[in-house]
Amino acid sequence: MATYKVLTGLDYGKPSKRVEAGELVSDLPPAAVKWLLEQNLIELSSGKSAPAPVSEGDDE
Amino acid sequence: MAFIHGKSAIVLHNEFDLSSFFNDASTSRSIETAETTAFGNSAKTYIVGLQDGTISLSGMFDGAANAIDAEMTDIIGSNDGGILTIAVGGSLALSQRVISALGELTSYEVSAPVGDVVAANAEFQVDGGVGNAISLHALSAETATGSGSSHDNSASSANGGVAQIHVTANTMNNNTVFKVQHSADNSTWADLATFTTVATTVKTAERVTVASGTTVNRYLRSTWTASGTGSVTFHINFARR
Repeated sequence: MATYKVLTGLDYGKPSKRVEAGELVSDLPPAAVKWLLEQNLIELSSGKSAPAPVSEGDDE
Repeated sequence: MAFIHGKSAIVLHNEFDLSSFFNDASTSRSIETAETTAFGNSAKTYIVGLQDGTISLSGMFDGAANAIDAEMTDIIGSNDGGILTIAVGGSLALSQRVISALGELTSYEVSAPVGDVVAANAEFQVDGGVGNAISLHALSAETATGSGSSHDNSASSANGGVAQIHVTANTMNNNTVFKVQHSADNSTWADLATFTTVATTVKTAERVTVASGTTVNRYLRSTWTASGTGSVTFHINFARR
């Protein structure tokens, strides 16, 4: 499971979970990982295996 | 399309709702044009340059504390100017279009005609452009931590923007943190603009600029985190650039 370093505070999940910049998380919604990475709001944590950030079925 | 009557327009100035003192609010925007006509052209050609704007507010004089005269004279000569939100449609409800601006007061005039009410007129030079903002929280009270419903812009934008808050009443017995968040999926939310923490009972207004070149995702919402108990009345808007 990929672990990401949060670079900007995030709210996600139900019930809503709050994480602050600098925290490591591994439970981000798969659909959100792609845009969060693209906008440099999270980064793959060093030393972890590469994730599969593209959510299922959204490739064209 | 629906036309709008001006009778219910709202004017927020810093931490005050001054709507009850004004009866006319006018906003003017302009864009410089530079001529690019050259030999061979059959008509003049131009390119656009810098935007500019002015705001005029006129109404009735009131010399009481926190009324029009006190608030206008407070900002005379101040580089901080006045943080202005004008809702010409008479509503600050979620997703309503409002005008947001930092106004440098350029003139303040009080006139007392023998046969009419004492009038007050304020002219502002807009500093940083007139914002085409969207309301993310009506001017209403909250008593506990929460987040507003989202506004769907239909598409993201890529040039930052300005978030603006007016806290007009505050009985909270501890700090409150206000933010604007954005999302690409209306589910996971990232902080976009964080206002200075509002201390116990403080009323305030602030503009936070999101740097040009920053992606602002399709969905926007406001959030507030209250550390204490009480009530805080505020309005938040965001203008994409």
